[in-house]
Amino acid sequence: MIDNRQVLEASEAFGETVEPGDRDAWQPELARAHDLTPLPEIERAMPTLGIFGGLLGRRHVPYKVGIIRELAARSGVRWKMRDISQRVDWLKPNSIHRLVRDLVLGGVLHYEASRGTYRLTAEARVVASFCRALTVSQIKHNRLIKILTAAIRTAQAIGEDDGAVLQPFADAIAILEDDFEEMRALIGDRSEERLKEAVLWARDNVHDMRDLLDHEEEFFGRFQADPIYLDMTDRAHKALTALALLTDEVYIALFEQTDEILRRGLNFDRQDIREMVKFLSIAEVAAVLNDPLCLPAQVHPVDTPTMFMALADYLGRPEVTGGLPEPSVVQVFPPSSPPRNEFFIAKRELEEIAAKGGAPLADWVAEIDWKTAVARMGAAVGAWGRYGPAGTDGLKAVVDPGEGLESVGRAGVALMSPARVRPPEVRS
Amino acid sequence: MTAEEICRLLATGWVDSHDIPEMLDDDVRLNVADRAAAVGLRLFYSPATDSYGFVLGGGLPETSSHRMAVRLDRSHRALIAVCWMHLRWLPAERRRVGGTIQKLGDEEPSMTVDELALQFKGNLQKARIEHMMLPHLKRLGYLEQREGKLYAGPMLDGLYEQRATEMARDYMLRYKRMAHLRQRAEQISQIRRSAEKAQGC
Repeated sequence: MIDNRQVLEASEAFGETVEPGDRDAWQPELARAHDLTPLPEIERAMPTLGIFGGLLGRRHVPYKVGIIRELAARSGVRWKMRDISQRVDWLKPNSIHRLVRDLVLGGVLHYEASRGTYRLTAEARVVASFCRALTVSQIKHNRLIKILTAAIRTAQAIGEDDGAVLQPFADAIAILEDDFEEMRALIGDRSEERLKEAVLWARDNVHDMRDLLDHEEEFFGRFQADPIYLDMTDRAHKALTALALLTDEVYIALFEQTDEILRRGLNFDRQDIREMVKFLSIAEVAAVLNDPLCLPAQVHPVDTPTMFMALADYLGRPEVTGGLPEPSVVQVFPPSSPPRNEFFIAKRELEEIAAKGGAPLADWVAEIDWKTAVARMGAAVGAWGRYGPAGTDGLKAVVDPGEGLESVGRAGVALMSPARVRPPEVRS
Repeated sequence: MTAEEICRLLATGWVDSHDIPEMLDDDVRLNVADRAAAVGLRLFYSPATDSYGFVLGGGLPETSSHRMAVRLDRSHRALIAVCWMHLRWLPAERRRVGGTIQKLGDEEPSMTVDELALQFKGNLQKARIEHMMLPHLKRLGYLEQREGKLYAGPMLDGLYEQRATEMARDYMLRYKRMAHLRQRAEQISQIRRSAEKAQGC
């Protein structure tokens, strides 16, 4: 048990005061790559080792477990800080310093100020042993009762109170009850492969619980008059009997009886087939047929109702298949003539001029008569606006406006602005 | 009928053997079979329905543009499999276990559309089975429908029966095992509950 004096001594030995906020932010520094330290193995076991959280604290538990393991595995019972630093060579000395301080404050290490040495407390020795035993990534389900039996033995050895002895027993009973319910659920789900695995585990647990109850006197002799214990024993026997019966049934059915059923003949009726099909997927039922399936060689007439059914099914509207619709005359209207798109025509003309290398716009505008020239000039301006750089930018021609006016003298046009059409890539 | 005419008939549908007595002649039958084989087909006789037809003589080569006139998807296959289990496999197993043989006059196994649809509840809609899938399967010769009941068609004899039987027996074994275990688990739970109740009293 740690007392205030030890805390004070430890703090004085480190020449600093404990600041919780500072400790939370701090991270120990490794002296080598993470993979070359014991940490990966310890971290994998953290779900299990977390049970020592109360003793090891909330922070840096893997590092502390690593230090305790190193110390417990080496000879000697008292170490100076430099001894610890030498042994825990995968952590930087400063980090060891702080973690050791935490362990002292947690009562795992005892600091003797007069000698300047540290030693593992009795509790820490036990924790170190359990840490080593429990440094596994997971505990197999079929080992649980064995482990809980060991916990009962440990509690007895420690001389702990009744609760510490009876709690693992209660846990063991709960495991049997849980196994029973799990197997029932798997049977209900028809999860045969998972049931095979579960029954093997459950049989191990049944065996171990029988073993525990066979040595009842040895484990629980002192509780024979305790009504809580007597209730628990009764519960244990009931759970054991039920699970043993079910595991035997399942084991025989899954591992032994198949040949026997076949030998005696498989008796089933239509109801069995119906029920069986309900629990199979479409793919599983279809798999009964060989692949490729023998197909008839026939040419089929078109089946209109079937086609409409397929359409309804595709549309997700089965109600539309209540018979084909009555035929009706569809009224057909002649297509109306679209108006001329003068801008588009102008665009095409401008592009044609540009494609030929370019020419004055007047060559196309002032070609026929005054009226046409006016229309074409308007269309050219419109095409430039709609399809040019300010519009869709799809015009493959550039219209360069010139300054002033130039004389044309044909098609009723006397003067015109000297605009020139050219291909887009050509600069005037 | 000439062999050529018989071929025309069989290439377009199933024909009862009594309608083509020429097939009793070995030469004619061989001639028909040869003609079928020449175009990748196989003369097929269904003993259960006593009828003849042509089936594909082998697998189809991979061709991207092939537009099959006959196509069966997984749902069709599942439907055929269930019909086969009820109409062929169950009677065969009963005969096997009972050591009896099918006699003339024994009632031909049948099932209703409702019965068939009920087994696919949640997977296939009855309307789809009744109006889309069954007409297709009837046309192909897997099923026949008379007076509202479904009977095995000649194509059900075309299944690879041994493999289908093995698969179906495997499924049935699994189902029976699990049904038995469920019943036993319930009984054991009941015994346990009764014991607890008795103790409570």
